[in-house]
Amino acid sequence: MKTTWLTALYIITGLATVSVVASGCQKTQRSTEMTMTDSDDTTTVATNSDTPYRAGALLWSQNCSRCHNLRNPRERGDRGWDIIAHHMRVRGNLTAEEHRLILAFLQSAN
Amino acid sequence: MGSDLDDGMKTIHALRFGLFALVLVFTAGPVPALIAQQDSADDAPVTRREFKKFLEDYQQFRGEYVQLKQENEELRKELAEIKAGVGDAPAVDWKEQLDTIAWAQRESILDDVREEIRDATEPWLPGVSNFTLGGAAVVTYQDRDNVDSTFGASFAPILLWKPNDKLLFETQVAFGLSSNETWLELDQFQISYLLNDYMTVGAGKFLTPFGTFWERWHPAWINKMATMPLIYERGLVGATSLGVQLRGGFPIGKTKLNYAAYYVNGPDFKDTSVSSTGNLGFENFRDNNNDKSFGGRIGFMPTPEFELGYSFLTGRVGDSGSRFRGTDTFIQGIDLSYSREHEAIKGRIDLRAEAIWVDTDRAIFTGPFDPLTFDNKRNGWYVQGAYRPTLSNAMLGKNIELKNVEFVFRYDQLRNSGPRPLGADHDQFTMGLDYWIQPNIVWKTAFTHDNVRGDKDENGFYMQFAIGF
Repeated sequence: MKTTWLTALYIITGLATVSVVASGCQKTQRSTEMTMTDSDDTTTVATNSDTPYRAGALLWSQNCSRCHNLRNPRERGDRGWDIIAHHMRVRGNLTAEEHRLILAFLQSAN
Repeated sequence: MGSDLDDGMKTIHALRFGLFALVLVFTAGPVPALIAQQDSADDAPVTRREFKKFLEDYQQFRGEYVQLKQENEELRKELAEIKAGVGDAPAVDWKEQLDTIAWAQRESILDDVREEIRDATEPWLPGVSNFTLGGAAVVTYQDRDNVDSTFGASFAPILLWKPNDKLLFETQVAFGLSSNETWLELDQFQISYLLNDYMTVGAGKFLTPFGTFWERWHPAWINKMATMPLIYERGLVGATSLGVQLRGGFPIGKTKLNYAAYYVNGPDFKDTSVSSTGNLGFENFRDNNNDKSFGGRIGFMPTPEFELGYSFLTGRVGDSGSRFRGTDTFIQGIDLSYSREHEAIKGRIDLRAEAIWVDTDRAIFTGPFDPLTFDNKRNGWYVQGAYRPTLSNAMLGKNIELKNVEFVFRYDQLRNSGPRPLGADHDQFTMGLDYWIQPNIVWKTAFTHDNVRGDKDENGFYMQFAIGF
């Protein structure tokens, strides 16, 4: 029992540390650029404000289609996508930036 | 006679003269007087006040006159210019201009109508409040060897409530039909809170973050097969766990790492019947001991299409106070997945593979049978491939588009180290053919050839109609 507790404590502490460190690092990187690579054609997608729609569309396509067919953005209103995107952020382990861009795309394409 | 006439004439002349003289007398006096009176009125002096008023009126009239004269001149000039320019002016297409105006008005009206329709229909779209509804409905037909063929149906709505930007409440209730009754089950119930950009904490009854099937692919409208992989169907890992979890993901350069760690009631140990001895149960809603189980998964994505993951779950499974109170289990798993659309093959390819090893401590089982001791180990794996020609425009008949057809293949293997209660070894091949009516509506057919060691084969034919909403 003690071993299980300690193991749990170590791993949770480790994950929390990694998450906090990553959080600090990524906040500085977010405003610069995020690169996503397609194996056939290396595509660099800037997540700056000039192409959020394109970046959101690409993230939507890559993340959602990994598990299921892409749903039509018109299936739901803005508020509906807000809730669904939050749900999928938790389920799909999306970062806040990925969540924000995908949601912005869905709300502009519905 | 003649003299009388002359006398008469003289008399008339005399009368006429007299009359004339009389008129002259009466008129010669007053007329000059009137004339003189008139002359005296014109020459009458005016007062200074009257003169000043006359002068002011004059100056006002004079000013107005000059102004009118100037305006008149300007109008004359403009008219002259217009007359001069008329000959050189380009021809105006009044019809085109009217069409343009009419089109703009029409667009404006349509915009208004669209806005009105949107306002009217918005309340009927899912999710205009803090609540929204999702889930799945499924009807299955199965015809398996040694078992009577049957239809089955289930309906599992998910209610999501987002009270604020950090908090999410989700619950799924499943209704189903089995034997002669309807069953109802609380499949999921979780409250999650976003701690930061890369971490979420959740508590409740959630899908077990072990491998990928339960969390990502088990809903019938997502699962490409009408059946589940054997390692999940035969209970090597449970679908849900009751406890708390921490999870999230973060990029590392061009790659990404996602993680989940959970602390739950965990599995319990089955030792009370012949059919289940040695198996683990995962519906441990009231924990059977003081030790909680701990598990986690780490997934690494070198590219957005490819993911490799490792999972584990460990904990005490025996009832406290029983002779199995020191019995532990350790479950490990690996998973990989690849999904991408390729122009070269005109479609999307989807590859998945998972393997699970269950290692539970040796124990001596007693009961309605002789004391029994065996290595309590189970393991299995599967690999599944699917291809859908999403980029093809070919038609199969008039109404069936090839791009909506998906071909699926899966191979399952299950091994048990113990005697019969743990189950037999299986080698199973499944071929599937899906037709996607919509991205969230699918008709699936599958045929399974299941080679069971030491027992009869369990072949089966399945059809399933699933809707995700």
